[in-house]
This record gives sequence, structure tokens and C-alpha cells, in this order.
Amino acid sequence: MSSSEFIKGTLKTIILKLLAENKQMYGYEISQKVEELSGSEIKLTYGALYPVLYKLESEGLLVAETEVVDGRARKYYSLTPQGVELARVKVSELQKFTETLKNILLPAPKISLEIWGS
Amino acid sequence: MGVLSKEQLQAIREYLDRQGMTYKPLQDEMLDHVSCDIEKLIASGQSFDAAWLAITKELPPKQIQTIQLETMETINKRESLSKWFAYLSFFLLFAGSVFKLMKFPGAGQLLIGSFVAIALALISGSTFGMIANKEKRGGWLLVAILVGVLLFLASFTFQILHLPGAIELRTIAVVSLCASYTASFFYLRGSKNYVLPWLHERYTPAIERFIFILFAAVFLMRMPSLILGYEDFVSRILMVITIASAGLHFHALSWQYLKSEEKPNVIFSLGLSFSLVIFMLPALVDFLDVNARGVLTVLFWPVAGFMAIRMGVKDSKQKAVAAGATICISIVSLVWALGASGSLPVAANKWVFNGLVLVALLSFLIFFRQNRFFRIYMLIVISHYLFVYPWELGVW
Repeated sequence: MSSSEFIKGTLKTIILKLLAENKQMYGYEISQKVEELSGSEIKLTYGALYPVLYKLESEGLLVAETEVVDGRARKYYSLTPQGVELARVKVSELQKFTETLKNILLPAPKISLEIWGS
Repeated sequence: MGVLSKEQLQAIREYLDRQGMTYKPLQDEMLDHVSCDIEKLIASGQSFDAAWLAITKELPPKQIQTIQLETMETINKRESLSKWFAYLSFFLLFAGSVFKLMKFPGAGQLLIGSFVAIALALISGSTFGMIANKEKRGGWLLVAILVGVLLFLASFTFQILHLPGAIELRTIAVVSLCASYTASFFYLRGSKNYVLPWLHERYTPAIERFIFILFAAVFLMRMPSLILGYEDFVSRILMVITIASAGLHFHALSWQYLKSEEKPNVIFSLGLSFSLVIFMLPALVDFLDVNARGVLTVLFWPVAGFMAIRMGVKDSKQKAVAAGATICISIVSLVWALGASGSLPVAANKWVFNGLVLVALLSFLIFFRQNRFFRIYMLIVISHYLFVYPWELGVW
């Protein structure tokens, strides 16, 4: 599956959702979680992940804390109260949207008069 | 996990640097992510070299650079207010300089306007940082340093307007900056989340752009006076601002270094404090005679050079070049100081103030252009060299 074209519009929501469920996560952890939950169908590239994380942070939706782990700085992200609220709204919107998509993409039911015996 | 050695981590960092990822917070984050990816492959039985090759092979060309560009665009879009104040300060600074050169009235007012714009850029950037990062600690230190810088700018405003109290204001500014920076070297250590290094890291590309553009402009303004042999007041004032901004930025860069230091290193922090104090004291020209300033300047170059090498020069060949440059700079400064105090004949200045030495200093700056610590050190060196350059000697 070529996921990259679909992921662009939904990555923000995916990150918000993961952080809403996991309290705090770092970049690598987010990419691994996405890969795990998608059954390796979605692999986040560095280029997809970091600009979105910085954007969310600059919008005040995430806060970051840095810890030194194994001699390198690790940045943990967590949701701000606005982030928590937006995560709820965005996930609900995306769910509605995927339902709508499902309706569109399902094969259209054939109009049949068989039940009338014709 | 956590199997990578310091050398391997350094190799990854250098790769990111070479690929154009120079923005420190993003570089740190990418270093951690790439290291985790490599460690995962090592855990599955691969060697470091094989894992490293696999990771780099997967990266499309220029992707690292693109990540930085996209991230910087995101950051720059948001901080528009402080950015526009910074542009305004540039415009007013150069308009003021042109007015002064052309002997038009209002040059002083334009320079003061640029100081006000710099102050507003700093205030808006810091306010944004504190509001957006209420969870981060050490806001008091940010306020203390901000007040020090504002007082420093105010003292120049008073001086230009010939108002009384300029030297008193500068003394308070210097003392307060020395105290708050010294506190920062001990306080901002380890991995805790402090607002000051976070903001400084975020603004580092913009700060360096500002300092280097200012330096280039002031350098070009200064050259005619040295070649044609006349004194130029405006370029001297702008040189002081360049030296002060670059010096404060140079010492602030150590916050990024201290952040990764888990164990406190008191001697290093004391060295930084000492280097800052001897850097700031010459700002009190009216209190210090030329001998005292000479001693402080001579002391500053080796101490600050050592700090720059310790914090930012990893490669052994580069270390040797940096040490050589520091020794040359200290000798130049010593000859200047001895000449200024009368211990050496003024004619000795000819040996250290000439086009050849200037070209050598510029070559060191170009050589270390990729090194964030040593390039700022060299910028301060050259600015100071041009500041004390006896214009009557000419360049050749």
C-alpha cells in the first residue's frame, strides 16, 4: 500500500491520538508505535514526522521535555490542555470522515427487482 | 538499547552536520532517532557499519536538509512579531549609519530607533517563549538577562543623546549580565527543562544571521577608513554592538553544551564565568584605564579560545589549528596591549596590525565556518582587531 499520500493529511491527528493515549513519547517511539499499530503498513519517515512535531509544538498543542539518555538528548512530547481537546475533536472528525469514505468506496448496492419476483 | 559509543554518536552528528542539519534542537532529536534505528538493527545481529549503511541508503538525497528547511519554515512563520522587529532594527541601524556617513541630521535618532526595535524583538520573543512554555523552569533567569541587555542598550541610547547616567546604566547592565550569566552556568545544567536554553536554541539561527550580517556590513564600512587612513565613529559604535552581541551569544552557546553535561563541572563553569567577566569589563571604558583593559583583553582570548575548543572542536587536526589560531590571537593582543601601555614602542604595532594578519584572521574564520563555537569566537576576534586597529597605519 502506498501510504505516504494518505498519511499527509492525517499525521497530525495520528500523533495527537497517540500522545493522548501515551502521556509522553519521543520521535522514534512515535514512529515505532505507528508501525506497530498499522501492522508495518505505515512507516513514518524522518521527513514526515519532525516538521509536524515542531508545528504542533509551535502551535502550543505539545510541550517537550528533554532528557539525556545513553549520552544523547531525547525529547519527550506531551499534549497541552489545548492539545488534549484538539486530539478529541480531530479523532472524532477523522472517524466520521473514514465512515463517509467507507460509504463512498463500498461497491454500490445493485438495484434489483428480484425480491419482487421479476 | 544504548549500545553506541561516543565516537559513533559523534560520527552520526557529523554526518547530520554535513547534510545540512545545523539547527541544534532538531539535530539532537534526529541524532537520537537515527541512533535508535541503528541500535534496533544492531540488536537484530548487524554490525554498526552495516546498520549505518542501511539507514543512510534509505534516506533520499537532500532529505536531511529538507527536514531542516521545512522545520525552520514552521518555526519562522510563528515568530513573526519578533522577526519583524528584528528586520526593523536592521533597517534603522543601516539607515542611521548612512545618515551619519552622509552627515544628514537624525542619524542618532535612527540608531536609537534601532535599539528600541531590538529591545521589542527581544521582549516579544521572550514573552512568547514564557507564555508558550509555562511548564519550563528558570523564567527568572530569562528576565534577569533580558533586563541586563535592555539596560545595556539603554546606556548606548543615553550616550548618543548625551544624557547623564549612561556610564551608571552600563555599569548596572554589566554587573547584572555578569551575575545572571554566571548563575546560568551553574543553574542550567543537565537535562532539566529550562526556558532560557530552549529559547536560545530556537533563535540561534536568527541570532547568528543577525550577527554575521551586522559583522559583514560593519567590516565593509570599516575598511575604507583603514585603507584611506581616517577615523570613523559610526563603524566603531557598530563594532562595539557587534562585539557585545557576539560575545553574549558566544557565552550563551555554552548552555547548549551544559545541557548535555550530566555531571557538574565546576571548574569549567568557573572558566566560563571568568571569561564572561573579562569580556564584559572593557565595556566600562570610563572606569578602566587602558592598562586594565589591555590586561583583560589579553586574558580573554586564551580563556575564551580554550572554552570554544573544549565545547565545539572535536577533530584533533581542527583542534591543533584552533589552538594555533588562539595562540596567534593572544600574541597580537599582547603586542597591542603592551604598545597601548607604553611598554613597547608604538612602532611594534606595525608587525601585528597589517593586511596580512587581517587576511590570516579571516582565513581562520572561513576555515571554522561550520563550527558554531569557534566561528563566533573568530568573529569577536576580528571585530575587536578592527576596533583597536590604528587607522593611521593603513592596511598594507
